[in-house]
Amino acid sequence: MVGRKVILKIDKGMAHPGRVALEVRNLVVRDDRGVVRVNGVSFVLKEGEILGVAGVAGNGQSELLEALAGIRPLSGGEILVDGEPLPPAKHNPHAERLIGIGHVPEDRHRVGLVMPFEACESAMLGFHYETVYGKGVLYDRKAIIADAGRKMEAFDVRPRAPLLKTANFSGGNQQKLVLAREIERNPKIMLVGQPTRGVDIGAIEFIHKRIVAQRDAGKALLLVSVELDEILALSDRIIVLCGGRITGERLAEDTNAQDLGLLMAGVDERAA
Amino acid sequence: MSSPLKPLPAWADVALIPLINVAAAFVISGFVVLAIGENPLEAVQILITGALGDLEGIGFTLYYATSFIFTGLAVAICFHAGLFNIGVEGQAYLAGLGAALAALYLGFLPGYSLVVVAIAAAALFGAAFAAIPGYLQAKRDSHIVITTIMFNYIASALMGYLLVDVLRVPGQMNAETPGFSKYAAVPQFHELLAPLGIQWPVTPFNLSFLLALAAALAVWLLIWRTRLGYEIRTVGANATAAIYGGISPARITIITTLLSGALAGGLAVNVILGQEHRLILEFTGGFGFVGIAVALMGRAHPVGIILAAILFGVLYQGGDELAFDKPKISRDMIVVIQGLVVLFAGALEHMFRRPVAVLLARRTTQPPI
Amino acid sequence: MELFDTFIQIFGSGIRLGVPLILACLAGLWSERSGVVDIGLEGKMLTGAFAGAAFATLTGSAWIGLLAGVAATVVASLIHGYASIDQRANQIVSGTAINMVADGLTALIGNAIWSQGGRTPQLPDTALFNAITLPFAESFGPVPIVGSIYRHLISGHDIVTYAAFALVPLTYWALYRTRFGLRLRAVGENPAAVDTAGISVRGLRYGAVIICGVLVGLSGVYLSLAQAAFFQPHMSAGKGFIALAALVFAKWRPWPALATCLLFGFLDALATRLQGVELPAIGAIPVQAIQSLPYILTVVLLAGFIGKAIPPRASGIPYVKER
Repeated sequence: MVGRKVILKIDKGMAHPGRVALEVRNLVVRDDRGVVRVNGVSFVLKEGEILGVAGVAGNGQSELLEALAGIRPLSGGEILVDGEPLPPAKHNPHAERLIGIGHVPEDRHRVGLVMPFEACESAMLGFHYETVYGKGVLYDRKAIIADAGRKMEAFDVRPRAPLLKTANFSGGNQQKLVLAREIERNPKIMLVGQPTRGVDIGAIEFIHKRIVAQRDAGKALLLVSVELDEILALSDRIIVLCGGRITGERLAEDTNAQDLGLLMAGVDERAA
Repeated sequence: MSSPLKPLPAWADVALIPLINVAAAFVISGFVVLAIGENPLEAVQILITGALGDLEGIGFTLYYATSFIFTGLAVAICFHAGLFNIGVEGQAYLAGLGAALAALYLGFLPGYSLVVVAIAAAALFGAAFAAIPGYLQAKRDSHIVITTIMFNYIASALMGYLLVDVLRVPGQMNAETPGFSKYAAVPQFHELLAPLGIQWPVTPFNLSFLLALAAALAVWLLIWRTRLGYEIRTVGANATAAIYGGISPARITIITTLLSGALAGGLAVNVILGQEHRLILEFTGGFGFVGIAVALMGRAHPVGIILAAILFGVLYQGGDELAFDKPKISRDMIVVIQGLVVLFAGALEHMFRRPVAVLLARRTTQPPI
Repeated sequence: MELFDTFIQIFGSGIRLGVPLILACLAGLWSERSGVVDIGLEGKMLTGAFAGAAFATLTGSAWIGLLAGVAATVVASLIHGYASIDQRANQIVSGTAINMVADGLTALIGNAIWSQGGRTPQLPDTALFNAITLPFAESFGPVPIVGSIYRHLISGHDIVTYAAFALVPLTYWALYRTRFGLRLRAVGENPAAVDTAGISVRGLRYGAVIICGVLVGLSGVYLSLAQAAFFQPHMSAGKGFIALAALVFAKWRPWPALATCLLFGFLDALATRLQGVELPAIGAIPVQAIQSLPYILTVVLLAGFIGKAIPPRASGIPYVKER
């Protein structure tokens, strides 16, 4: 259908994990109604690796991601970036972007993009204060449109129409726009949620390749996905969340769907 | 009823549908006029000649339009942030207090700097009065619609007390302050044009009109060409995405309501500093609410707002003439038209999409003969 | 004893001032519980008041006035309902439009017919809802305390007042003890679930909007046919908005709504009573301070100093059927 063979298994080289970029200790996070969703989670994320977070939807992955990105407050535990605890004053999306933490949210419609905006405006979200868009008080429209054009070119977003409303792009192109925006800033840590949900096959391949490329460039990537195939294909190391706790940690090459499936259900055969 | 909005060509979206909405409001108003026993077409004729028939009418029309530009901008800027500021009436009223206090007690300031300070005071007082509901919405989640409505009544009571008991000229019957000095006056156009040899009839039309146009330009630049404007629009379009983007909806709510209150002050500048030259009771005359209709009709865009404001200026000036000629069609008719505009341009704005889409489709799919 | 009599007087006034609030508050309750936000209570109250007074003046009958008032208000409610339910409009804008149109139209028509600046002529007692003396009120009167309460507070109200009080337990029963009420509450919290169960979300919401219209129509009719004896432009003076605030305070429940509205009525009466009275330290309270007390209190209430109020979950959100 696409005209060439589509690779679902990523051609991915060995990971060369470096030092610890992000560490999470005993994290406790509550949802909007005060119910504990992340119940004492601890793990490390190293540079140059993709850490996959597997689990059935609703077991705390979303809240974990939001808490790490600074959107949701912590009810306990701490986050350490480069070994330093993240102070509450810096636990918000803006400060985290400045530190170098990028976030591709799980829901591009409700969170990652602004549907009524032009694509070039959605492409600024989170970085709209940067001087590349205008040095004085006023924005430089030409610069904004040019920047969006560059992003669209680099990430093959179609159509190449920076003035088109974000809502009028297909799911895959919208997602590529989000990725373009977050990756272009060169963050050292990336939090990625459901990157290929609702995305067409061709775009999935493209997005997966870019994620691996980021890893190979030495970035630390946290990948949350409910697609087990995606987790297994992309991750170097996998942790499984069930009921807000980590039920197991595996190296990608040491595990498979059955093993992960059991962990997702709360059973750890190897622990016995 | 649950089908998605039919896509229409851009020109239909931006121009045709809004025009149809406004037309619907006027057609229904026409039926109301008919129902109370008058001829709508005759009424329209009296209205238009009263508003645009001579220079005096035009002067009054533009004077009213100036007020509506300010209140329309005030409501519109809040719309962009997803807020409904119904309190422009009260904010403008308090702004008048600011202007009056400056004019009456800062007379020691040199020359015409007094009027500049008075204008600033009006903006300041308007902003401060808007800040409370804004703060309550931002930090305590108090619905800004209800709080601003309450604050309108509070403003009325407060200003009534001040004008009757505190600021009134001693011994006078009317509840109003002493007159302001000429240095606290915004010059009227007929005064400015007279030395140039141009004979313009005496109307309240004053330089605030230029201030209003400048404000419209400033609002346009702010909303679409600055970082703050981007943040305002993002919060209004999608607060969750705004948070994700590092924008604080609470902060934006407060800033936007402050700006809105300041713009509402323009109404006080136009009426109090431009025409009355003293603080009087209820000078806002419901113009804060007209701002809602103007903002909706103008689709919260400064250009649309200016056009809508002029239209309502025509309605108010023409309406005055009409009420004089036909006592049965009182000033309240204009409020009815205003309400219908809010209904069709605001609430029922998509009602005509389907029929229009069908009409357009039929035209384009006509087989060639 | 004099203090007690004063209290009775104030309580009595409080009830009279609270009745329109109770009815409007219940109206808002029915609407909002089904998910339709109603800012237009003020305008609808005016509509009911005007139509009631107009028809009572024209026919000489208070009951026809009541029917007319309720009918007119239901029409206004249906317009808001159509905009909110079928056109999926912004419900606040729609309510605001209703307020504006009602404000202007009532004054306009009133002036066109009677040429008194929008006021309707004074109505004779025969065309009003008058005080009803309950049995034995006169004879119980002299009985200390209880008799006085019976004679002045419980007896002596008009039929609309008694209806208002009866409507509270009726609303409670209908909302919490009938199938219709359960479905209606469900529609306000999770319309998708109700839809999936095969029940018409649209039908329930229209039903709620009609009930709202009837109740707020009654509150308007009370204003012009029981409290005053005529209609005057803007005579609702913000009562529709205060009723809305009371609804929030009562957290959308019938019995707390009754209590809140009576409280507001009582405070209003108390304030009027204190008008001009010299208090020991402060001196005479300005009239305007008294007048603005209900509005200030509403803001204090909404500022959440008296607990957090969570509206029905689907409140204000138009329902779109999933494809």
